[in-house]
Amino acid sequence: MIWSLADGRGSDDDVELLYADERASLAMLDRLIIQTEDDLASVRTLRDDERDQVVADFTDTLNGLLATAARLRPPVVEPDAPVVEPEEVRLQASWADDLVVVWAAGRGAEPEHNDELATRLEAIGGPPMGWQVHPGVPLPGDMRAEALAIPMKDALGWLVAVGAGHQGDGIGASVSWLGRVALEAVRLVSSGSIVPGLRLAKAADGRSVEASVRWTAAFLDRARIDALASSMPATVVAAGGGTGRATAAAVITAVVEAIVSQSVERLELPASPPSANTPTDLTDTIIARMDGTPFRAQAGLATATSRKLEQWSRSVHDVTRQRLVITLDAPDAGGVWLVAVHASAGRGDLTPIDEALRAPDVNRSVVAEWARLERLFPVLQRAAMRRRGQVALIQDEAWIFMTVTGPMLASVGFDVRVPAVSRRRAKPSLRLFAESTGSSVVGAHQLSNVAWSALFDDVELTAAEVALLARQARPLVRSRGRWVEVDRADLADVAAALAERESITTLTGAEILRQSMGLDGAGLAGGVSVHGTSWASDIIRHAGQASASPITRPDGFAGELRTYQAEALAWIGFLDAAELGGCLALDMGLGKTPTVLAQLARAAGDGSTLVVAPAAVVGNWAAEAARFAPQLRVVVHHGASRSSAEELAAEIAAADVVITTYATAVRDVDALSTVTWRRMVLDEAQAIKNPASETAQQLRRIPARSRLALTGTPIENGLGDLWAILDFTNPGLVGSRPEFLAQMSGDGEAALRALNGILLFRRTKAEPEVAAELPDKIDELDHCTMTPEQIGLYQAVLDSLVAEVTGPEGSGEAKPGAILAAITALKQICNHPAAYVDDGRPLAGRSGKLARLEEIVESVFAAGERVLVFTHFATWGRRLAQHLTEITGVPVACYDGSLARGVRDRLIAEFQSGEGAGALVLSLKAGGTGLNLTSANHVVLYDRWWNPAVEDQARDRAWRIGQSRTVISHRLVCPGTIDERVEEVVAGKRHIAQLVLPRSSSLADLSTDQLRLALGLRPDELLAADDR
Amino acid sequence: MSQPQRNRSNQRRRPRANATVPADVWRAAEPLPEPEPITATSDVGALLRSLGDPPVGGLRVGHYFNTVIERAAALAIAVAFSADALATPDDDAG
Repeated sequence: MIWSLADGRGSDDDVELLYADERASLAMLDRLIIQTEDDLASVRTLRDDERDQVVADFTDTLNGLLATAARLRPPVVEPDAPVVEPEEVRLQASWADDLVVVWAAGRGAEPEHNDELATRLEAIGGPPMGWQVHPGVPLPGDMRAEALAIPMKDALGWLVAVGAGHQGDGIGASVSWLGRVALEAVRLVSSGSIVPGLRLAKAADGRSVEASVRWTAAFLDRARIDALASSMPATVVAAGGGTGRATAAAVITAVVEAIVSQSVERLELPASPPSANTPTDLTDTIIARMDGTPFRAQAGLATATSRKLEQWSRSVHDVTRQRLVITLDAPDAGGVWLVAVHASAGRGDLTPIDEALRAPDVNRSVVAEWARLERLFPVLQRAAMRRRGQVALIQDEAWIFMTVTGPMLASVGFDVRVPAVSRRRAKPSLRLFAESTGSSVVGAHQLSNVAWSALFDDVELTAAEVALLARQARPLVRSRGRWVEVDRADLADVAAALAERESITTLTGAEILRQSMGLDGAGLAGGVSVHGTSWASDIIRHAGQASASPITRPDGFAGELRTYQAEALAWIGFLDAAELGGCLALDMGLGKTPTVLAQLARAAGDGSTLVVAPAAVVGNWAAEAARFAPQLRVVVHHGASRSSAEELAAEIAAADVVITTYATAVRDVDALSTVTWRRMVLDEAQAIKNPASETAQQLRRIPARSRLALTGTPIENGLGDLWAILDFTNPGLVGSRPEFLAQMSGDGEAALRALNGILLFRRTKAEPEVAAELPDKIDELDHCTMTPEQIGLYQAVLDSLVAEVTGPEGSGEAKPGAILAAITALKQICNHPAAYVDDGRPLAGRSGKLARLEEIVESVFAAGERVLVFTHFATWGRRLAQHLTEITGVPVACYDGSLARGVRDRLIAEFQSGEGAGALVLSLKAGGTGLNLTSANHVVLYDRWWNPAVEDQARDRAWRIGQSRTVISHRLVCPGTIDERVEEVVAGKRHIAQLVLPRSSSLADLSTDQLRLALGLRPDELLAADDR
Repeated sequence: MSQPQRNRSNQRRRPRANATVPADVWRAAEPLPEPEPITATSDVGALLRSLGDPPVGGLRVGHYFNTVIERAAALAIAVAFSADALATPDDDAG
């Protein structure tokens, strides 16, 4: 009846009869359709004359059956489908016809055409070569996506990158999946998990056969393949069909073949013999055709060889094989490690291998696996026959097994279970256990009983245990659950360090601190850790905990600290609590002043703090205190109008912070020494780096419960500087200078690291976590002093201007030109008297700005960095460059408009390509725009210009594309002078007209008082350089 | 027209490749776990060695097989490296 319908002869009654048993009828129809498809495929291979007719007959039959099936199956009435919003069109990849087939579509969205697809592939960095047009991919809704196809060898690099997670936008899950499978295949090939075989095509004539060498992956990890298969998106098989596991296997095979064929292409192999009809010729042909190219071979010989190769490698293809489990047990009391081999019987059951091999129904895979294991681990053969699979290892062998043999066996399919190991070298250190003797003395002089031991990571060893370990062929310790190899040289160092301290049974608090910082005795990589209940132990413990919870918004501080500043604040708090001194060594620009002010703000009321700073930054301190800690009572003790010795006590009593200069502190040291300060802060503490200097000696006389030194360059001229600072902050604690230098010899930064966290807090801009928090540019305003020479000259020029206005020849009016000329002259005087009138005398000591510049350049050079110095006055710039050259010894050039273009270009090129300490002076006009000077990361605006944009352009010579560091810009200003009024103009607080035309727009209105008000010195703001 | 001869003993089923659309081609698949980085193996010839000498050509063929495996492993490592899929040397072995 079905055939009648298929031939078009059936009636409606026939259809009704089939409907009577619809299910059975449709099942029969499906079988007939499949059979007919098979038959059609077979007859297509016929070569006789009737082929075309037979093919046509079968095609008609198949069409008839399909039509009948369509007639019988009622059309599926789909419920009203919800309206689905078209999804994003993404790149998809299917596996079909041994090709990667790509197309672009999304649920409900119109698929892309091939030209759009090609554009998409190019945009995401897809493979550039190897594409061919592929038949379209059928999609729901009678849609068909156009497709392109590429062989695996051309797509491999791209697919693996996608599989490793480097996905661009618009990549569909199917591409990711294929990439991931390709990645797993690459993993197998990279570990050598591939084996060759001989694949045979159907014999054409019965005597010969087409053969090819085929490399396949050893599917040692079926679970991994199954996991991939279960997560395969349906789009992967949209073009070619297939199951997840079969598709994963096919893709892996394609990757293996792609890699092997490309590897063999570059290998010189013997030529292939003309035929493969003898065993020798077949062997030679296999060698010559290892890239997989087909060859013809004698059928019987090839079949036998193919079978032998299949049997040879069966054990690594057999996913049902019983795995062997190899365990290594940690040593017993006698130090013997035991290897045992078991056969896994599933569900976690293990059978000793000897028992498994003797079983009457021994599993063939167990025998094969045992043979494989013995080949790779011949040590097993030294076991007695009765105890097959059990071998004792000495420690040396055990370590090799844990680190080399075991991983190798695991990579070829064995289940290896060894104790955890760490390849990281165990870090040696000393452990000092200190316990107070019970005496009433506390602090640095407290005496403690001490005991010494060694630590390798967390493993504590006595001297005897160290000696025992040193005698072992392969010294191992178990640290944090892992076996770790101990370096022999480290053992020798530890033994020596313990022997050196053997007789030390009591130490003072200071000595314990010195030991912990590596300042006493032979050092180890891990240093000395201090434990116990002594004063020093408590200090060290608290130092370690200080920065655990940094506070970025401390009480009383009007601002937010960066993380490293908050950590520094916690450290300063620890010092205060312990009444210890320390050195805050943040790099220039990292904000030492606000960090200290945060501590002063939160500790307000616990006593007065004396801040000693260079005169150039006293103004900064006062301004920063007003900004960040406005509730602090701040007194600037400086200048001729400062309090007398008699008044000072009352002034101190009423102040939270007293700010003074080094010279004033030395001059008034007697008065300042009459009180015990809660803390004393030395800014730019390199001022005391010479311990024999008057400044250092006198400042030591001022009593303070703790002393804090601030510097960005704690080892500017070597470790002697550091000792001077630390000995000032904690007299006697770090030992004598020679001892300190001897103990810390070598790399200065290493010394800083050793000391960091207790007596020193060091952070640099180079540290990634610090750099990450820094803005890419920092603008600093440096208040500079005026020397008596500058003040006198300034006053004289101003008097001259006033005289011009009011004198006998004066008109009573100041011409704008005269005022501008006077402003220019006053600015030059603020720069340096020699900038106004060059009398040929040396420059040093005659200008506060110059002194500040010298300090900045010194710090920049100490850090090995480079600085640009901008001035508006070219002539002064040349003098400045000459002066900097003389005092630093580093050649400093001046870039200005008087130089020929070629010279200017050379200067820029030389500076930009230079490394290490360097400076370049530039005139603002010639060098303010257009240049690229990113080799510098410091900029000094020596004098101010009216327009902030001009200054920004100057700074931007260094802060621009190509600059990888934070740029620190210093603006030098003399408070109370024309300089500051220019600063106000720049800051937008004042208009330039207010300077040139102080009150009104009428020049006639200018009075001498107004001139003096606009341009004159303001004594209350002026920083007079009566000292540095 | 006579019917073509049919082999009725052939009852196996097979999928009709290229003829149908998967039931729901757009269904969401389970997410793939993060790929583990590939670690270079020091002894890529171990699997081959574990099988013993090949049954054809003996040691001589084994030598060539091993050479191909080593070169393929090197190329695979290069592919993994270019895809940034290699484990870093800092990774602890244990």
